[in-house]
Amino acid sequence: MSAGTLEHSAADRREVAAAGLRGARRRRRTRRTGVLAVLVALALSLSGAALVIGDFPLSPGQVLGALLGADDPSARFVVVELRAPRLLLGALVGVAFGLAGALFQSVLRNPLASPDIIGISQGASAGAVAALLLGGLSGAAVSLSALAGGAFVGLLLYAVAWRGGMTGHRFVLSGIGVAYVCAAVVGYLLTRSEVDQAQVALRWMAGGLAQAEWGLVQVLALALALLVPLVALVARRLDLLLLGDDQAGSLGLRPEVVRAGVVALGVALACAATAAAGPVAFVAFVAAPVARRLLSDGGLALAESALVGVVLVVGADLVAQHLLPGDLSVPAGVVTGAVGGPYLIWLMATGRTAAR
Amino acid sequence: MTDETRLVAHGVHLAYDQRRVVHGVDLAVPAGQVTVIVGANGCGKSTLLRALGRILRPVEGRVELDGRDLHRMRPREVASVLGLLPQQPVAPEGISVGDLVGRGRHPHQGAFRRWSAADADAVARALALTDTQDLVGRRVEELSGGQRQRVWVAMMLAQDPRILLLDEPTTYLDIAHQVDVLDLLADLNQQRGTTVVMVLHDLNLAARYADHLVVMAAGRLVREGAPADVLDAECVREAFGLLARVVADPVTGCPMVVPEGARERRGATYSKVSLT
Amino acid sequence: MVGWASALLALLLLAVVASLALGAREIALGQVWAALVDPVAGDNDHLVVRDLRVPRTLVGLVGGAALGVAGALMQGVTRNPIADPGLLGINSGASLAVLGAISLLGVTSVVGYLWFAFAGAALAAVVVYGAASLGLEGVTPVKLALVGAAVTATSTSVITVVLLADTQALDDYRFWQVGSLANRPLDVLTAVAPFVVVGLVLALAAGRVLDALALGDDVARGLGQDVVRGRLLVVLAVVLLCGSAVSMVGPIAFVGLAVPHLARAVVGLDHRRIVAVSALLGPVLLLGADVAGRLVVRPGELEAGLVVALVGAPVLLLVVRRSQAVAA
Repeated sequence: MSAGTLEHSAADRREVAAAGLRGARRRRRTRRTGVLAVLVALALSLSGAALVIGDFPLSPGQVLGALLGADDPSARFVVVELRAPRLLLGALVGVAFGLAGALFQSVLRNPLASPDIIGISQGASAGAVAALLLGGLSGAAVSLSALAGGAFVGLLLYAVAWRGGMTGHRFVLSGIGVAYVCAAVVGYLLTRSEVDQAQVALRWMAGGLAQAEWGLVQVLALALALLVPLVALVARRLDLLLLGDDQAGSLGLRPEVVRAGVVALGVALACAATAAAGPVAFVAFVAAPVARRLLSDGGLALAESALVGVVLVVGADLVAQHLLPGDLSVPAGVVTGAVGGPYLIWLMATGRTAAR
Repeated sequence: MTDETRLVAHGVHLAYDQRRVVHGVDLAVPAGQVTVIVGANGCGKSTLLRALGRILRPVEGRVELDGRDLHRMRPREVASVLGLLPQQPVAPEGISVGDLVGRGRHPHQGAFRRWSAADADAVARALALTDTQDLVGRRVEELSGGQRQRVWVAMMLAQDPRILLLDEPTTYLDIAHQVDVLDLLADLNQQRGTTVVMVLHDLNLAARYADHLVVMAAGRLVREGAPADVLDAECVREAFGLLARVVADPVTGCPMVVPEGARERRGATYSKVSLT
Repeated sequence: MVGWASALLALLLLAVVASLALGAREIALGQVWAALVDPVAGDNDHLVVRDLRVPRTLVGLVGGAALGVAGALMQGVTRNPIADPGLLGINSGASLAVLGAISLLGVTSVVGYLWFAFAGAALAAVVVYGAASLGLEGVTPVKLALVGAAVTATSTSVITVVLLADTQALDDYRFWQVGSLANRPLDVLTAVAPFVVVGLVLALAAGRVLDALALGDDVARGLGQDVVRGRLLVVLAVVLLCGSAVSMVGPIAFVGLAVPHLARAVVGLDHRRIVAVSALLGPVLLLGADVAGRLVVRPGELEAGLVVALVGAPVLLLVVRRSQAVAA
């Protein structure tokens, strides 16, 4: 092509643009690295605290020794068999909820569209409570039942909301309707059981990490090892989908297919985490808005949301175990709700723009 | 340099749900030229553009790109040839201009390939062409309407398609910015041979910038051809139900439509302007 | 419109008759009529009708109307079709207050819960609205919904802590929280009736405000609507209606979610009509659920709060599926 006048006169403008782009990318990368570093540091220090703090007093040195295989059976037992699986479970659950919330909220374009609002958590709760109260089951059977409940709701929503395409509005509304049905089922089961059994169910529904053991951690880790790469794969397409269906379509995307895939991933992540730890309140809801606010560059902030999830769950479990007065032993989910709620209110009250 | 990529609609019928909007349109988009589609509100011109852009699948008939059915091609393949700017594009909240324009590179990136030097080059060129290089770090929502429209055009240019489809790219722009955007598109067409298809509301701008003018009414194509051949009083009456005189534009000699509204026919007089 | 109105009235009448005539004890329609107009002292059938079924029918009428209209107002003012008393934190505030009364003060009767529920609902509404109105942009629909969800999450957490620590409170609370029309003495009704009446009048008056707000704040201002005052009016009506309903029948959120959707499907987007139709449909849904709950597991019964979700959700899903709204 011959260099036309337009190209010619544009040469220096192009230089300015290239320089500006480089600068913007650099600034964004710096900010992103900074945010990631802070979140990782926070997650690591909370993890350290989770391994060190507890009824059985251990020094950081002893903890490290136990992890590296030093010969101290009691320290080894406490760290490797009790505290480490609990910490890892918390981290995995945090990642799963953080990602699930971020995926739902962006693909459905609705900040209310997190699994704890659109019925996935409630479906899982109904499944688990039915297993606990009707079947008298415990342990893995409850988790499986929860998984089935959540997955059932996911499929149902899909079937209902899909009508030659899925709109966020329709999906969220159907989800809330289903959530009420599940809540009604749970309410029924709670009122028809012995009160101490009801309390067990209630504890499960709050969501916590007390049931942690290596088997559970392994299963959840396996699930995430499958799902997280898929999330990474759809991430950039989801980025484009935020431009609207027409624009995304003209950039070479099949919007419906991408949307369906993202929703399926979100359901799978939320179900896996809920089955393992119960519906730890509000983590999925609040992780993405917080992460995006920290980054504030209009991106999806998936990795950051996952990290915020980790910080929330692990931190909340620390607080629940050790920082509450007396013998008030509460599940971590109570703390995430009690802390996450006011934090979100504070964000809203001080924010420049509403979090998406 | 002209581009020989052919975009053709064959007997295309288009519908939203059950409601048919476009009834059997045949249109061969002339390669390397500027085609402008005009017509009254609701005549189906935006709908036709969406079908040409693969967004809307025809219920009958088909759209062909180089002889292949557009709706059977892989989306990414289409997107590397054909870019579409919708009437009201949505920018994700908080996104910067550089990022937004960068999104246009999607069709050229593999599933795992990250940002490359070629991508950076294309984005820089697009920014320079649209004179938006100084806005790179700004947030899209902070921009004025004119700046924003140029940024969207920049995004399409970063996509580097050989055919540009634009749905009313001049909406919300003042007259100077309208001319700016259209000049930009005309330059692209002239110097890079890019095929441009756009829907415009303003008949005079349409006549001025179109090589090929397409007039639609009630879901059908009523006339097409060079503006000087197509645009006359009869055509305006047929497509818009408006009585008008068509005179020569004093600057370019293109046809210019001067409405004869009801007030004029009643004999209203104007203090400063005489009607001939 | 006239056709719809008479159909709705007929439906409501049918629900009332069913609520009076059907239940664990089989009573002939003639006896029901006699019990109403010419009661015989000592007649057990008459006693059941007058002392049990009439109160719960009245409670269902008033509670259903209040819940349906409150839902319509909330969806209108937040411009969000998924807003309802459950999501905006009102119910959870009421629940927390009732649980406090149970756990801290040892209150155990529905009449005793009344004012706590009311105060809790009002407080939650004030917190939600207040927090949402801080910040530069002022109240936006999205902020209202988010803050509501946050308040719900926080109160639910506190509720869980209390219930885990206090088995006795759990035992009382779990029955209150499912929501029911049974065993609500008429005192409850007479206590809240004035609030419901004022709330309904305000709601009808707010119809025009909501029509204006539906076009967006800027257009509403352009139409001469004082946006802030309009929203406050709506919120006040919501507090009165929700507070009354929750304190009567417990935190039944589903009616508030579903009824406005059904109403919109019937009468379109005119908010005065939506409010009016919601006021009729709410009791139909709530009474219908209550009657169904009495019949399915005779001689026991299912609480209306449970049945309403089980029966209403499929209807809601159908309406949503049919709706043309494509707000992606």
